[in-house]
Amino acid sequence: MALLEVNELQTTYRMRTSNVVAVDGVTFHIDPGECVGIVGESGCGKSTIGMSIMRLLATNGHVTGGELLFDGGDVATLSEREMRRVRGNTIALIPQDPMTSLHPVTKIGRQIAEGYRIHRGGSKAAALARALEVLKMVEMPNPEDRLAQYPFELSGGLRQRVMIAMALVNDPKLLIADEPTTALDVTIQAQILDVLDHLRERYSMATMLITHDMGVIAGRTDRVMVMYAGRKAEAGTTEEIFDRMRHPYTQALLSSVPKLDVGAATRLQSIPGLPPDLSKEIVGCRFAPRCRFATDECFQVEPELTGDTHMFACYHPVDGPLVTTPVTVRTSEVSDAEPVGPELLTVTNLVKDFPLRSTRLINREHKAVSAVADVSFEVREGETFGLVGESGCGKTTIGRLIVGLEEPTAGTIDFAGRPQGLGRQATRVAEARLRQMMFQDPYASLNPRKRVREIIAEPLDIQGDGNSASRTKTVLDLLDEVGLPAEAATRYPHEFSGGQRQRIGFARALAVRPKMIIADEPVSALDVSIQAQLLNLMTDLRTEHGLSYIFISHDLAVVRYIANRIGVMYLGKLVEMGPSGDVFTNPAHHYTQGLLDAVPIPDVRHAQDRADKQVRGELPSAVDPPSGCRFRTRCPAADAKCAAEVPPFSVVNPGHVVACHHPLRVTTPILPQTPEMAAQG
Amino acid sequence: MRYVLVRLLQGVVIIFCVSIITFLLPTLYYKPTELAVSVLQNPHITKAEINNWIQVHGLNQPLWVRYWHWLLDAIRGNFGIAYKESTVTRNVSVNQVLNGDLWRSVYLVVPPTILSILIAIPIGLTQAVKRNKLYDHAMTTWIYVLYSTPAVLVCTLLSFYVGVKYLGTGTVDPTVQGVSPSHFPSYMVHHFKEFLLPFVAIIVLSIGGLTRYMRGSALDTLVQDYVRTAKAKGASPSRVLFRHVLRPSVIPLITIIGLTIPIIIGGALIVEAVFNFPGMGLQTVKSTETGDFTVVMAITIFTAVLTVLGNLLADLFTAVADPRVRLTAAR
Repeated sequence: MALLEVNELQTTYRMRTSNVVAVDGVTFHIDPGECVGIVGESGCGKSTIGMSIMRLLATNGHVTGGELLFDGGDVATLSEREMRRVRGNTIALIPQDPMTSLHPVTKIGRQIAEGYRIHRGGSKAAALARALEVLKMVEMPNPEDRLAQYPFELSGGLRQRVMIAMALVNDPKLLIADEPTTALDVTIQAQILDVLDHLRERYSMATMLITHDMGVIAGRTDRVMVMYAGRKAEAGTTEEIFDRMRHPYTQALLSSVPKLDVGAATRLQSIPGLPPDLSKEIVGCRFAPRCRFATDECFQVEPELTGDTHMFACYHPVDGPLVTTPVTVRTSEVSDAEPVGPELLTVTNLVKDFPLRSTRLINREHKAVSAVADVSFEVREGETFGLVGESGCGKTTIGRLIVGLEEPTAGTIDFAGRPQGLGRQATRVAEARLRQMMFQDPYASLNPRKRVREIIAEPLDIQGDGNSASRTKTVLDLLDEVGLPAEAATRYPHEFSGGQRQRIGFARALAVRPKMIIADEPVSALDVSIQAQLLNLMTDLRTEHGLSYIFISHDLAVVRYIANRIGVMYLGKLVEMGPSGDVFTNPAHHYTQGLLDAVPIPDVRHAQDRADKQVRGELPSAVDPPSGCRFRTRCPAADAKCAAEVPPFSVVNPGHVVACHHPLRVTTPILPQTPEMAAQG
Repeated sequence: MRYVLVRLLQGVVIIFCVSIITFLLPTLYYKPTELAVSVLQNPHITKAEINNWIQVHGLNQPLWVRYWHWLLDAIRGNFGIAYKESTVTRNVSVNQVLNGDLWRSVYLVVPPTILSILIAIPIGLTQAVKRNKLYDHAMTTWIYVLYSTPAVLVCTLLSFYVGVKYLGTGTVDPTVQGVSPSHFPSYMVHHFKEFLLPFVAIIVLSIGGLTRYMRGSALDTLVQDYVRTAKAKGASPSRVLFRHVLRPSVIPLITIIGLTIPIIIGGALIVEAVFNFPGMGLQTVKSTETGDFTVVMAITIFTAVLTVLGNLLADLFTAVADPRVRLTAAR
């Protein structure tokens, strides 16, 4: 018998003027020991399902229909008191954001032990002993020390281990993992997912894995349910979903994920439009407005789910994944490795330290966070340079330094031959014409009190370009270029979705016709299908306007897609640099290899035979970075030399350099010249 | 926590600057000759006698010398002579004037303030939990009524309608002045009826701000992810409230309370005036009216010291309650 049976679940959120039916008649089951993945983009209702089962919905959320049968009993009808006996006991939750989900002023040992004491009673000592046991189960390094520590003393990955431990403390029958790795770096994500895998193998716990990342699903789940707009679009075994999917949404979703082995020559499949508004009544298939195969029938009557183990709801099912043939989209395409123009931006020996305030009166230590430690690279006209690395590596800081938001502690930035950042305000304003920035957070980077027209016209205003009439015309032209309607100009940012806001940010960056745009994680906050839209847009406009990009991201596949050359950063240092194809197919640095290994691949076969040589451990402190090679504390090939000497750059291929004493490929050392000169071959 | 030393040093500098201003203003205003005349109160006083008096009291020295002497004395606790209280035969020191006042004010103000904190926290917390329900709206209305009523009105109403009618007295017995600080608590218990209304008045006046602040702080805490985590563990609502919500909500309140310490000592003025309670507040008024500037100077410096201390204590207690402050500053 199934452990969890969800029958026609309907959950509604009561908003001020309408009701949003977030989950509308969803049926699925989970057997004991099984791992079922629930996949979908934001707003599809997957988190709501998890919360409905736990009965932890927000105050305006209610289960308005259906049955939730857990272990035979109907969870939906339990009294609140009875439900409390279930939560944290037989069903446990691993919430999404480990940074905010732990109590800030209570020690970790007590927080974990609390779950035990609530349901099993017992002394404090017994509960703490259990807490220690459970911390060992999640492979926490130094578990005894952690018990007395506070959450803020731990990194994100360690905090998530604590959350998993808290969920395990009473041996639950069902684990609901709500986007457990979304907030974590790729290498840490891989570690956490492995912990979940090991737990599942050893203790046969049933798991419900909620995520938007198809790659996470591919290697870890037995069955998958694809959700769209509150309804089940397709469900089946993982293999069926990935290799033989039937629903067009599933197909489109998989093809909009940028893949590591596909480069910039292929256009990303994006899904046009946006998910439907769930506060309004929807007639017909919910995916029809965005579906390539939609016919009249699709808009009139909603398709029923057909099939038995492999179910889907569609009148025009597809058969398997999209076969993508690399299409040459542009005649003057920018290929992977050819230099495209003269040097535009040259960064030389850039250093940025952020000083820390010492709390002492005498013997003040002058410590600093070494955010950028001697980085040099150049970007040519028409090129897209991808800067890759995990959080804390300094890539955002470099972006800010280039744009002038920060002053370098040492080193120079030369743009079009002239050094930047010196000189007075007037010079800086002129410099701003040349390079503009696109920011990461679409919700925080637009002034909520200004209309879109003002936002986009502001750079023109600052530069003193033209008059109000000409600026308005430019704004309208730009809106058209980024694919937004002209009416958008009079609206406020909060009226737009995340993807649309990023387009507005992009239009703003384009306003002064810069030569280079530094895009700082522009798609990280967006759903995969929207992400694809924006990436395609950026590629198109690059050719049209002769732009160069510095594309900063932690998402390797995205960078692989859009960048010609890539620089891999770790803890403030550039460890490898070269053409994106070469770096990703044949990495020379162990960190690059580790990053590539850690990226969840949305392909069932590859996911399962991934080698186990991961990047171990946690990021060391940037205040006191490791001596010599900064990566040595986590590197499988580190030795004494790595601790003693900072590795110099050596050449793998013309244009591809690496800084490692024991690189993965054969290299020739660089004779005394600067790395960029060597990179030119 | 070298941090504490730095703050103390900053405090000293602040008090130093305050002392300069405090000294200069009244000293420049009250000319020595006028002072002499008012103290000696002899209509036929001669110039020689005035000058003699001035010389004895050191009032003819240059300004900065006088300031220096005053400062050094003040550090040792001697604030000089209260000129308007003194007569030609007897000098009354400022300390004599203020001594009893200080303690009386502390005894008057501190217990009800503690009580109002203890009342405000649960009210604010429960309001946040039952946000926008009847209880919340009712309490808010009531709190605003109390908050917006002028202090004078509150005190007078209490004193007259409750005090005189039911308790037999609307003011504090004048004998209170003779009670020494150590005997004060037992005196308060004995004369409970007289102290009840001033206490109620102070509670009524201070509860408004504290409750609103607590409510806001609790509202912020309730939507945090870790509260949801606690519920996910199966914690009962009371457990969630007392073990997970209370402490983070109260921490910001500590700072607020620290900042109000100086205010409550000197500012229970209206309560003291209406209930005729001889405390610091009342003394401030009296001395200002009579122009007894040395007393006022002493009170000002004292308030400055209290402000600095109040701030420092607030930060210290926040560090005690919030390990994030404690441990991240030290790293």
